[in-house]
Amino acid sequence: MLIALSLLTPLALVLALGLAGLLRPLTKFTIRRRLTLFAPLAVVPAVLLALLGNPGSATAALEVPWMLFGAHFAVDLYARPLLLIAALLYGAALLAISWIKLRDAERGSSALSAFLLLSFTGNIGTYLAADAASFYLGFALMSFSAAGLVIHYRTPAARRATRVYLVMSVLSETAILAALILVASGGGFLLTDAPAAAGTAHTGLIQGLLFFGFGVKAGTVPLHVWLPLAHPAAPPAASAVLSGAMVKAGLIGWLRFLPEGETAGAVLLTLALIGAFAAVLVGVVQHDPKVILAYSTISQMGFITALVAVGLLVPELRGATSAAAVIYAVHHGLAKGALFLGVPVVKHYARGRTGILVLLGMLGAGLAVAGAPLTSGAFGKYVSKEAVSGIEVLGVGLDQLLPLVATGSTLLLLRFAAVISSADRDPRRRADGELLSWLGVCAAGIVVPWVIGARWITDPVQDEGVAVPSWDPGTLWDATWPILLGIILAAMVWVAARRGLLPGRLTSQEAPVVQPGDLLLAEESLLRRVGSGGGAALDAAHGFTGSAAGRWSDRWSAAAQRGRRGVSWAEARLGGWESTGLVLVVLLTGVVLATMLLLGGNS
Amino acid sequence: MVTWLEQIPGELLPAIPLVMVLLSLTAAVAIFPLPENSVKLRAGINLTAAATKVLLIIALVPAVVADGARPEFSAPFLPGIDLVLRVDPLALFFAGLSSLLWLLTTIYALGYLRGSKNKSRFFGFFSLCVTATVGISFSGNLITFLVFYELLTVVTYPLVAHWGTPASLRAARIYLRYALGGGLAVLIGVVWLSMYVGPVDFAEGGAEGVTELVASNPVPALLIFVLLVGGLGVKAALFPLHGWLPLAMVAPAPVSALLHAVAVVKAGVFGIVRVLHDVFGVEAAAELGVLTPLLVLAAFTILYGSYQALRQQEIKKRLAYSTISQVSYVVLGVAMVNVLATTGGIVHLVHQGIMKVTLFFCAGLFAEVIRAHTVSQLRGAGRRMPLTSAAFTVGAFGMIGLPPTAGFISKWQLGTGALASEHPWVLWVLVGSSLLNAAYFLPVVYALWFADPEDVDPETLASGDAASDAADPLRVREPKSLLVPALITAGLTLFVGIAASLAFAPLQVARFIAEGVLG
Repeated sequence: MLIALSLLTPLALVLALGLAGLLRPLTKFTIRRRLTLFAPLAVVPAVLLALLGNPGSATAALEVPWMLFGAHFAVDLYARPLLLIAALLYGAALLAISWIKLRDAERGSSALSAFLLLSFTGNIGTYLAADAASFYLGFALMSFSAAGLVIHYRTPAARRATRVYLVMSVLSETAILAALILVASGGGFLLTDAPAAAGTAHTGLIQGLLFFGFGVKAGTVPLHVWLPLAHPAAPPAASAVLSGAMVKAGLIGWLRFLPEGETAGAVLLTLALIGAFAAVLVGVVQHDPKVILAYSTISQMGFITALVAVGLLVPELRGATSAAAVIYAVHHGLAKGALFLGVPVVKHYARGRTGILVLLGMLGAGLAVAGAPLTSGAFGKYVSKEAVSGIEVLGVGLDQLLPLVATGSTLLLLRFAAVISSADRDPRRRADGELLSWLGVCAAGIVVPWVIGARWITDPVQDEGVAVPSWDPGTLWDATWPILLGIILAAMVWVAARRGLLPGRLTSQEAPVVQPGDLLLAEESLLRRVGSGGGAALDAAHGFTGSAAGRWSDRWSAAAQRGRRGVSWAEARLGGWESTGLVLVVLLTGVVLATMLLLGGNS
Repeated sequence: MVTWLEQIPGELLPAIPLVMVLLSLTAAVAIFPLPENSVKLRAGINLTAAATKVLLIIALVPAVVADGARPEFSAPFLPGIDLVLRVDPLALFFAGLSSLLWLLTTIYALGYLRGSKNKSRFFGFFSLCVTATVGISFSGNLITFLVFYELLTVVTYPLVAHWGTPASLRAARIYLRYALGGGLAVLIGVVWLSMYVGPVDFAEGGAEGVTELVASNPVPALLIFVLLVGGLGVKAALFPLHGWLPLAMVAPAPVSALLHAVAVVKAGVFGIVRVLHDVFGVEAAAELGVLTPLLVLAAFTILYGSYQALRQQEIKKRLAYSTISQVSYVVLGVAMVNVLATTGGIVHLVHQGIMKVTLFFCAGLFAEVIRAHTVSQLRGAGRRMPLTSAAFTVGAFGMIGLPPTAGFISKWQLGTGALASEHPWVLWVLVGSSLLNAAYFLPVVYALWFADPEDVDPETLASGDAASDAADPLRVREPKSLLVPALITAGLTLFVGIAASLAFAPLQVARFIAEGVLG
């Protein structure tokens, strides 16, 4: 019941928003404005579901036998925390765009709300779905609705981002569809059976398709190219859900479907670590605060993907790494959401007394992403480190390597702070939905991950809550040194830049040395070359078939003419019955011969 | 609602197939002599006949599907050969589609042709066309099928040529050549087969005597199969016999809609299903070794049609090539010979019908209301005609196979069927076709909703959401009689997709049919 309400409430609201468009402009405008005011409430059933839907209870399962191929929904260990942060983030985003003075509101904010609500339904659909078809429904709904978020501003940059996003999404959807059909055919229609079924037949193929399909969503290198374009192009509130909630749909897809396998695990781990570190290098040279945050998301998703990969490599660890990935996703969702929502907040409120509040909040969210002691980030990193202890990459323990991601995060966030603090401020505003929603997400970021970790996630192996770190000096130091290292590195770069020791291209104020979307430029030019070459080849092929068809039709009409001439000639000659008779005999002989040849063997 | 219908007296059942055929025929006979200006009477006759047929079909469903009744009517036709009309589940399935879409297309056509000439001729042939389609679906033997099949060719010619322009006359002439050639092939096939086994009565698992023929005389049996399927393949637009279809899109929009969704193209593919299931039987066909070539041909047609659609800029042409691709899904499904795939193929008969009819309705609306014929002319049409654009979007998503539309159900079913068959590579054909479909439908959807119109200046655009209560300067009112059918079929596209597992939903009926054939 609560599951149905969670999914249907936002859809009903979207329907109402759409139908309002049929009214006269003024009425339409008023009604839509009122409806968008209620939009944040559409996430309430989902919040309730997350709070009350104890996995295994009656509230937490729903079967709709008449829907699709028999639809199943359930709240399980992984769905519950992700559902809660999705509801919080989308609720905050809706609040930020609708509870705002009319003159401050985005143009077309009702359309933006509608797309957010649709994405929300799809997004929680991927968490709640318990069968492959429903999962795919949620995933597709989310992916295609998100295009409406990315294109919202209709600027050339937004259009380009949308095109890239749509192309990547279509490729990802198709790969996922193929993978899910393969899994379902192997007996994995219900998600509880899915990884096992995927492990029995076509395993390598399924793994490849799933890596690709969900990797696009999760920003795995080299499929991440759309992310630094799309996340910054969207309005800040939408970026918050894109980066905070939607990338996690890729994670849940992997957790639900991926079969174990050493090769697959090694490949995914390599890609994940490349992403986690390379994104930092590209991100620190960017000039747009939201682009920097997008690269930080790629880096952080690399971290989470590494956890998933370890689960594939060592099946015994899968329970622990999956739990760690979910906790990390919860933490990252809220912290990154707060940072994205904070971009306009800094612009509008960062002065006077509210300025202190804003500073504290942003600092807190930033420290959380970096994993400073006592923050949710430290918790996420601690759990992850415990889960992967003992795994080595190139002779270095993974638990030694992963903390360095925090160093990268520190660098990115310092860069973010530098860019955003030097940006222009807009005229001051009174407190409104934008500030409120940001405060709400910040507050949730402080509390929620701990509660979820302690209460909701149980380690499937030991069947008890995840260990919360005790803050002894060792743990504190573990959480602190990567950040200190990051600060020292940043300071060195800063000093070097002040002394003019860095190449001019790196410090240039005009354009970043690496464009947002990095590999995309190379990929685009490759595609263009393939496209033009292929196009030319196809044109040649069409020219050839066209001329062949022309020759054929000429030949046939010539033959027809010859035939007509022949018939008239024969008609003129065949006056006498003798010749007619002769022809008849010849024809009959032919028919008899043909019949004998065809049927001779059997009669 | 249907409780009173469920109790049709048993003795009336056999008459129903005949009544169904006669209903449209009577409508045609009544409409032809009507003067041009008796608009209301003509509309009344049309709609009454169409609505009655839908009700009759609904009444038949429980009896035929649940109780296993097979109402049958037969009358002597030629010495030793009877005209047989019989209702089996597949017939009901196809007839249901055709009567429902006939009703909607009639409403659409009434609006579409308002104020144009030759309406009595149009609606007369329109009714005859549906008579032929119903006849085809209820045919109980090959001769009856042939009669209605040829009738369909003849009566659709005036519909394609309706506008009388040089282009439409040329298209109609080419259509006639293709269709008559195909019909001739079917005729030869039927006569040849009848020479061996006598009148060919459709029967599940193959007609009487055909299995023995395949065992004793494989070469003629093979040739007969090729003649029948090749002849039917002309209407079904199988590559390389599809050339007439893209040309025929010059016909009026409701004709194109009917041609693509239910009448001509579907009659061809329905015939192929009949030949495969009820004349030869899948086992005999497998023995002949024709299934794999047929599968390969269908797979190629799917990719080729999609590829050609990608190259078209004109909306109706793009839709036409898309039909070529989509209809072959049906052949693809039945050629894979397992319950999953056959279900997917058969259900696509209906799914493709409602999706494609939606798209053609919308294409007609765009052409009539804002004179948009090419994809680039659709830029920004979402703001001018939001409901039409929404319906088009649903249809396009269905063609791509996105959930929760009907197209997704077909694709998923075919995909699982492919993996269960001996030809798992078919999955990659489906995947490739999905990508191509997305490549030619998504740009249209993008243009509708996200592109700015070319010829409207930005100021009018901006004033769109200004707070004035004057009518939106951009908004265009669509005629209701054109819009409502499009919205209904778009709604159906979503409904049969979402509620695919409801009792008597197309998917369930299709599964019932497939289990009957292969069970």
